[in-house]
Amino acid sequence: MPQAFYILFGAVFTAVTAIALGKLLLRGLGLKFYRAEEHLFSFVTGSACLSFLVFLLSAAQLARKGVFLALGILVIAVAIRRGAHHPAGESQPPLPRSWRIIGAIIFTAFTVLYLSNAMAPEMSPDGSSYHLGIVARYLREHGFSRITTNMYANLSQGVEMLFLFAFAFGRHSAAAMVHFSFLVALPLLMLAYGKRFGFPKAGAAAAFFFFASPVVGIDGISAYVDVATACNLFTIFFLLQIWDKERKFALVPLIGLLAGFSYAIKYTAAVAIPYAAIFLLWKMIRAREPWLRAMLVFTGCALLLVVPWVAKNWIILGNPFSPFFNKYFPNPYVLISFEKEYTESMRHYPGLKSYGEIPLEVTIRGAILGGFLGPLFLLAPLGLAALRWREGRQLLLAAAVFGSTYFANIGTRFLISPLPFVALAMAIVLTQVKGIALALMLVHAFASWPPYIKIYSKSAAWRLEKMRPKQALRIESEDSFLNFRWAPYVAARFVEKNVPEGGKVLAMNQIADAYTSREILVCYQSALNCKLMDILWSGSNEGMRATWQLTFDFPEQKLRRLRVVQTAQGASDLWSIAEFRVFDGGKELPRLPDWRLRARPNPWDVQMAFDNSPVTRWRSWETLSPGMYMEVEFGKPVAVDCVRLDCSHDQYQARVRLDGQLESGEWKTLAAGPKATDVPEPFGLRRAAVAELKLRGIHHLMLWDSDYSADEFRTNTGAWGMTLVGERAGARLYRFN
Amino acid sequence: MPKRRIWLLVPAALWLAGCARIPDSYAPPMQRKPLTDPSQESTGQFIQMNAPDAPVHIVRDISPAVEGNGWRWVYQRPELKFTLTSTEGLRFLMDYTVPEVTFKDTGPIQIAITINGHLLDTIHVTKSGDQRFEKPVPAEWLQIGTENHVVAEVDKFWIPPNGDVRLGFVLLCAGFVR
Repeated sequence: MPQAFYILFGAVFTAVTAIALGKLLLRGLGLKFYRAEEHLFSFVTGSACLSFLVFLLSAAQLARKGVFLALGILVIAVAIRRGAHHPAGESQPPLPRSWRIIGAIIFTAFTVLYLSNAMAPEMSPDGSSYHLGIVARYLREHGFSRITTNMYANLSQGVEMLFLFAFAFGRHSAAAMVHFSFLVALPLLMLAYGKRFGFPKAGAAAAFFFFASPVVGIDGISAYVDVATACNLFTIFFLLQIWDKERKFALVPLIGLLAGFSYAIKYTAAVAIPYAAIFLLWKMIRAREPWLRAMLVFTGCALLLVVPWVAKNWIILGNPFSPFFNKYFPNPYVLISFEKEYTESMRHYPGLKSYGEIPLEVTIRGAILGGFLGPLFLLAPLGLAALRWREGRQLLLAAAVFGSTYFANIGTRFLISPLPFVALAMAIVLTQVKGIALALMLVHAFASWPPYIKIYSKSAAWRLEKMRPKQALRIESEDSFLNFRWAPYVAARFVEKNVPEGGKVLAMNQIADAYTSREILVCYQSALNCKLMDILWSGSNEGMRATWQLTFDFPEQKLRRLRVVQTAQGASDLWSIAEFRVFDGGKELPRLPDWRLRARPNPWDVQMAFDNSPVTRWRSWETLSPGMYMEVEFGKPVAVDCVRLDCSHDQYQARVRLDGQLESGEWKTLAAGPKATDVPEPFGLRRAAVAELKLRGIHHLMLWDSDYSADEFRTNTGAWGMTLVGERAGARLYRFN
Repeated sequence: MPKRRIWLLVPAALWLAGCARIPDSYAPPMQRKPLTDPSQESTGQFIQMNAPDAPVHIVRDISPAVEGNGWRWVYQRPELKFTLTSTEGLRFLMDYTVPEVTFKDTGPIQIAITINGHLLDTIHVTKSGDQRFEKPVPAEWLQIGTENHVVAEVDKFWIPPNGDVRLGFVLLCAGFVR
């Protein structure tokens, strides 16, 4: 039971601190709302403020439990002293009795279901790996450290800052409970919106449509950020609608803060900034009101929450918008080729034959796109009839704007942001016919209740399975529960036990990082990890071995520089060179310290082509384009008659020529093309690859049995110079000898 | 500064950010030693299936688990690799067993031994129990300085009643002897 207490304390303390901050902010701005609105707006705006404060503490290396406790107590004390705990607004009129009774029953049932799962041990794929893995690391290191090996640490982490605050007290489940608090707040906001704008029944129905949606449920009880994003976006919309009616200037900074917080939560939610800015500007210009001051205040407040994340990335990674826009902000931490593949993969999930399958997949099936909204949302087109009403038009506009980023990632959970607006538009239409909305609420409740979901959805769909009171209260321990249900947890605990403190583990796919303090270098999560795996594969993959020699012979002459230029265009291959060797009279010139080596693109890895290792190679990490080059400058004129490039075959379409700079400084082409020969594979490539990894501080490898090449490591462990430490739940941990 | 020109600072700042921190050149790094020692790969010319470095010699289709007193099951097309220091006067030797339990179901089996793609022999196994195969190997089939691959392909399999693997025979040791 004590663990359950800490979980609840961590989550409640975080939420209360956020509410206290929000109340102080609303009071400071002199804003008054209805009672329920005040609590909810306080929670959301206070969350933005708390996230900002935790960011500052993390930047100052003060992310410690004691500091968070002191901050929370101080904020709550100040709020109580100023009387902020007494709501200033009036209550809104209640719903009709039948709605209240039915609503209370079905909302309570789902709240209990969600609460028991939110408090249960955290085992969501992304929550237990990077969302909380990075949070746990920040707490261990008392703030931000220079993480360049995990692209997820480069994303804005506004909600993760709240997770960090809660995690310090109640660990993983406390963080998940913070997300759950947004799951509770958002339907209440939808209800409050409906009441304020004359659609109370529609507000209640839409709130339940959203709340009971299976993907919303499982996402909202996990340490994810999608429901928090939706909650923040809906609050922005709600406040804009209030501002449009009341034109209180004090709302503008609040809207600005929340718009900035959208960026801080999730890059794709940054669309809220232009949405709110254009909304404000358009309305003021149409009403012939002065707009400059309001827009400056809006922009300033938004930037307050945007700039910290931009600055963090700029300082650590040299790319303010990492892991994206690497072409415009070249850096050695995220590969341009990876960014392209990653963004493509987010648009095309394996198993989805065409976008035409999306409607059924996101509403009923749920296996391919990671969860489903529920069959009720097949009725979503009915929401278009809400265009008749002004509120309906505003809701549908917001749904279109916040849904516009969906095709950047077609996973179902990326529809959670526009879902509240769609649900409200649907509910406005459905409540025009008596009894329909209530009936659909009941149908939706049955269709979304775990045991009934199996009737129509795919078994692999991401969804809740049942209530988990024993696990929530830790009557069954976290370790016991996760050991039998979550292989990534088992793998993480095995790593924790068998890898020394400070050790790094190279892996092809993620494990539950949040449950180990060892650094897991997942091959696709950074340029460095990708290059480490490239070295490893060079030891075993035939196409990646440097057995293809390209030789440029030319009459001996004195040269200042040599440059190999790639001339082919556009193919999907990446250009690579394992070794760049220079000869004169049949003897290779030793690589002297005053040589200067250059490459474009990817200048950072040029040394890999001059280290005499057949398993390390410089790669362009961009698809072929004319003008890519590698260059060696000798420092003084040197007699040369041959250049040999040791390459791998996995670059069939690359074409190269050799240029040289003469003593006079003039450049000329020495050879238009090389003579290509195949040579036998050298001995000991596997061990050489492992030696290179050890040089880079990597001493362990973890592979799932389903990983690419897993069999190779399993059957040739000795040849690699590795020892199998053990196998757990389908993952094998190897130690380099 | 006129108000309009202030906005020009935004793209300028972004442009400056994009130009940051690209290194001009590097010196040659530490030179790795050439990989010329065959012993680094640690394959030898003969291997017992219970030896610590047996996995180094296994290419495919041999059970990763060592059974009983040091044998392994082979599957459909077991393959081993060996490193040789010379190619003259070598014989390929393989100790193996066809268990009674498998022989009862499969009857006589054939094992085709191929060395570096050349068929050395096809063994006709007409009884169960321990067996030895031994035969000289033409030197021109073998190589020094790279791996030599041996395949022992079985024509019939035994599937255990409660399993889904196709078991060939039991291998105790294999390799090249003089």
